[in-house]
Amino acid sequence: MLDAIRSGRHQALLDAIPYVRHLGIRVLDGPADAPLRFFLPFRPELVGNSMLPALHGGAVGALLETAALVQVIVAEQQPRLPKLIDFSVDYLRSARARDCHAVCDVARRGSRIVAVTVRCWQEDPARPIATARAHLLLVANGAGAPESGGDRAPAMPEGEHP
Amino acid sequence: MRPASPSQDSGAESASTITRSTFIAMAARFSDLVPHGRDLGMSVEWVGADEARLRLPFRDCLLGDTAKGRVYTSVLYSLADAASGVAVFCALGEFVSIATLDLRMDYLRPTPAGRDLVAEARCYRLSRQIAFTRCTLRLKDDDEIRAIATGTFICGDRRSDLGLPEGVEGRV
Repeated sequence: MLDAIRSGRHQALLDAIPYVRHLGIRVLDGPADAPLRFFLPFRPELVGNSMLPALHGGAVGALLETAALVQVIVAEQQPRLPKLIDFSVDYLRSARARDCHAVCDVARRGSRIVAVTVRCWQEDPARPIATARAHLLLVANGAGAPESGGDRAPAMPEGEHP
Repeated sequence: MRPASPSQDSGAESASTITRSTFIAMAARFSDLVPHGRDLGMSVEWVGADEARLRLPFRDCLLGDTAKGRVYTSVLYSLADAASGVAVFCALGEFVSIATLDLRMDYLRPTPAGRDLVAEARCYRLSRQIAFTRCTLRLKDDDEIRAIATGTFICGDRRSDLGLPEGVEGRV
């Protein structure tokens, strides 16, 4: 996983997750410092309501969760999947039978917890169809991601966590 | 109004405006109507007055962390969304269009691969336009809760826009 991060082979991170590969989620190349752009190409199997038709809320949710997980893997140089603690989606508009895009913004990096928000749109980035927020529990990284110093939240209390 | 708590006896006829046989027909039809659920292999196992239980057999394509052998969290999310939606249909007792407003997951512990997932959802409050749901996700024959979902849904116009024809009971 770390090899893929360092060499910028981000799609390999997604393809290592069987469910993400099953849904067909892609990551698009962009500027090195920009947040990754995630992409869910439309397929009929992703539909939730055939009458409208509209994408299943779970398919949109999977894109948003994957954007959160993979953005944090890359930003925090995680050796494997961090653990999702919680994940919440607000559906703003019906997701039509079209491709979906998503970007994840890291709102807060703690020593063990990262808080993120994710935005999802179809044709127009200014008209999001869903937003999400999540907390992730970082995996201890033996390889040692560089400490950024001042912007670290206090450590969470010790205890049994997911 | 409908009873606040569902019948404990799954075989009992519901006191609601919709018959149990219609519920079962709806549940069966639900699987046919939702391509995403069909793609993953979800099925409606049981429905009550305001409750639903959905099952999702394990398959390798549902994995997340393959080294640790864990189900991907989004699989639980999809199943929770689907189960909560069916619970809302049951509470409504009518076939109307509904849409998820929001859904929050708490992932209490990892979900090991290999066993069926079971989602039990309940619509615990139904107002004229909004439904409030809770859903718990477990592995089959396992008491430990893997995840909890809390959702709200908006209930659309009272019209048969879900493709459920009159005489749907004929499918039972």
